[in-house]
Amino acid sequence: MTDPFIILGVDETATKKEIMLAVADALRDGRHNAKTIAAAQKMLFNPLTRAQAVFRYRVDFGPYAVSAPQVPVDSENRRPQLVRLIISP
Amino acid sequence: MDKTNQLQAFLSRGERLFAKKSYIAAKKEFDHALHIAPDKDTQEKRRLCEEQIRLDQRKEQIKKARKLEKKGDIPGALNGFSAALAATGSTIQAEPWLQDKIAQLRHRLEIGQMTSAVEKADDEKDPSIRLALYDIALAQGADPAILEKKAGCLVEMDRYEEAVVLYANEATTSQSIPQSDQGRYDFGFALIACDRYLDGVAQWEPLLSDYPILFPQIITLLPYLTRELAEHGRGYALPRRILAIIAGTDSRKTSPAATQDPQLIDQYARYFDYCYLKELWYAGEHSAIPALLPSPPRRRDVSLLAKLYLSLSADNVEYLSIAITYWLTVIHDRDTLRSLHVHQDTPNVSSNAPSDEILRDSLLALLDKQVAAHARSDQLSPSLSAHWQNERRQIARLAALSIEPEEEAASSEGGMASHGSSSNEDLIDGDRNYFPCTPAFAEEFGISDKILRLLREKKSDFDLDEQDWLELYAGYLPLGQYMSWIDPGNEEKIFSALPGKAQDQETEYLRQRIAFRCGIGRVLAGGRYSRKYFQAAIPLLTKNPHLRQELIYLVYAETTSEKVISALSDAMEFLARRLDDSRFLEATAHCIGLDVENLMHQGVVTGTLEKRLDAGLAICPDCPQIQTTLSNVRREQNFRQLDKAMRAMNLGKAARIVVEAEDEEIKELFFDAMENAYDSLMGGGNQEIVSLGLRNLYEACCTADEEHWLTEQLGEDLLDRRLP
Repeated sequence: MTDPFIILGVDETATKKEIMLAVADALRDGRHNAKTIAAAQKMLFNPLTRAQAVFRYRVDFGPYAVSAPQVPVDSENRRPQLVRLIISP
Repeated sequence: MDKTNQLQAFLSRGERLFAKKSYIAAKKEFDHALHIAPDKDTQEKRRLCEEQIRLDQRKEQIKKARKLEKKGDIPGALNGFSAALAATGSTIQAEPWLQDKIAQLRHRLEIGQMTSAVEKADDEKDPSIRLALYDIALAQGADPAILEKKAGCLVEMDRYEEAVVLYANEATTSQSIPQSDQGRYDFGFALIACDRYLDGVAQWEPLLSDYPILFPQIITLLPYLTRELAEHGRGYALPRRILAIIAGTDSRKTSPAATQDPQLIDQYARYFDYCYLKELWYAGEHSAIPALLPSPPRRRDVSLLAKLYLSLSADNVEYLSIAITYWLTVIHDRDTLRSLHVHQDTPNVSSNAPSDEILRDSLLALLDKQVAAHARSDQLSPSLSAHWQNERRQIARLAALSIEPEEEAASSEGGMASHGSSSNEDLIDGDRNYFPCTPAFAEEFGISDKILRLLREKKSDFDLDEQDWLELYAGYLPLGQYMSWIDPGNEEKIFSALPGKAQDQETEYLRQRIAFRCGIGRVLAGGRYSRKYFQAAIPLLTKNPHLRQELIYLVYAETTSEKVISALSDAMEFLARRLDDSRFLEATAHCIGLDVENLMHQGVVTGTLEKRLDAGLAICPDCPQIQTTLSNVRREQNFRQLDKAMRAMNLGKAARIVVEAEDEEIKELFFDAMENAYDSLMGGGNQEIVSLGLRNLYEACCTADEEHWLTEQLGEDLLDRRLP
């Protein structure tokens, strides 16, 4: 995993302050080692490597976007109303 | 009869009956005898009778019990064997088999009772009663099948969480629950009722192909499943598989409810595809993504594919070729680079945003680094290397022209696909304008013709050298890729596919350029018969110094093998007669010189060497290499002649060879041989022969070098012997 945005859990618009906070969170969570987190932070603090990272790792999924079908869900019954079936081959 | 006689009669009948094993009758006789006269012996006999009677009774009980067991009367058999065991007294030893038999029958009886309890429960309509009966059955021993039934009862009674816990607990112990289809369905049902839609549907997945009756329930679940998956952002592989099963099932087998809205199912399928694409990308599972995208790819996939292939090619060189094509195209895309500035312009995000050029160079460096890494690990084939160089060079040339399809054309309907539109419009589509692009990209997306048309239209605007223009243009022509590389052995095939003498200069350039590549291919394979390819490329070679330089480079490269030098010298000798380029001519002579040296080491006869040398000297007599080779050949020749003369003891001729060669090494060799001859001569006995030999040696040495110490020594020896 080398995507600094995923390592730190920030998006491409993250400010320096947000990145600093994300670094602290990432170190606390322990999902990645300190070296990886430091490298991600360094990458996002440098304008050139940050632009590189945006170009390389961020994908605009807009052209692929498909909305979930709008099916009315009974707001009073949060759960689907299913009847238990007796199945036989 | 008196009492004594009666007693005797009872005793004797008793004995007789005992001997005949009629123990009951014998006991009666002994009882009568004891009534008349109690006696210890008779009492003992009576006791023995009783014991035998008990043994017989026990045997009978066991026999009966076995019969009952055979008949399936387990309780009766158990009673029989138990009675037999109880009959075992102090005098009869209990057999282990009897105890085992009783334990076995008890177990069978319990199972039977449990089965009947389960059967009774199965017939019961009230789930709570069934649950109680199953609990009774389970109290006698755990059985996964009954556990499933119990869980089913819990589901029926809406006690879903208990059912889930029961299944989960049992799954950890037996590893196989639920075993039945109904059990699996119930488990899924309970999970769904606990808002665990993905887990529930996962339980149902194996059932779907056999039970289309479940489809309507799946469809009902989809909005809830969608909501659950959206919260986690992962798990979309399962609903995709499930919808594929539903879509792939013959509609005749499904209920109308399942097929009533195929559009809805299709919409969900597309939505899950989209979500799965995102899931895979962010999870770094890139290798599964190409299968989600259409083939051939669409314009809108290019940006994603470029990033994807770059990622995949880091570990797999198979993806490197396509990564080069897509990555180079995308990093030269102005719109893509500009879009990055949207984020960089966000307040506080970054200052000193890099320019497009700097960013492009840094992105190119990423690919360059990847190519270099594969080259270091010897995974970069010559064809891949040529592809990398060609794609990189061509897109850089195109980008340097600073032409751009007119933006207003982007709004035209149909974009790239529209027929009859101008070339400018063709290079733009609704998604993205990928201009400039690499030749391979242009070919894949069918825009080579449009690029060529645009280049022709704008040719007058470019300040380009004619050769550079032709190189750029021909690179985007069909077969243009073969200008850089032809797989070994395919030269003739590609050459035959070329058009004959072409009408337009660009196609003619391509023809000659590929012919040149065919020739180079043959030379690199160490093969002869490259002349026809170079013959076709001569007009181009006369104009293009870069191509001549390619041959020159090969001549001077340290890695060029003897085989290649041989083929190259043949080709260059042929070309030298037609090219007026001093560097090329010198390189040709150099190459011939190297070839002659190689031939000389292989022991090729002097005549052939001299013929080749003459050819090289005729091309460039001042070439240092050909001069060195010439001298080497001459020296070799002299060595051979000297050796021959010495072997024939023709000392005069040998001496003349030394004089003519003017070579210190040959001279030294000659005098070494003379010294040896002198030493062996001086050891001889016949003074007449010695004197004659000394004279011959002296004369030869005098011819070779009058001042040599051996000549002087020989002279003194002759004087000593008073010989003139």
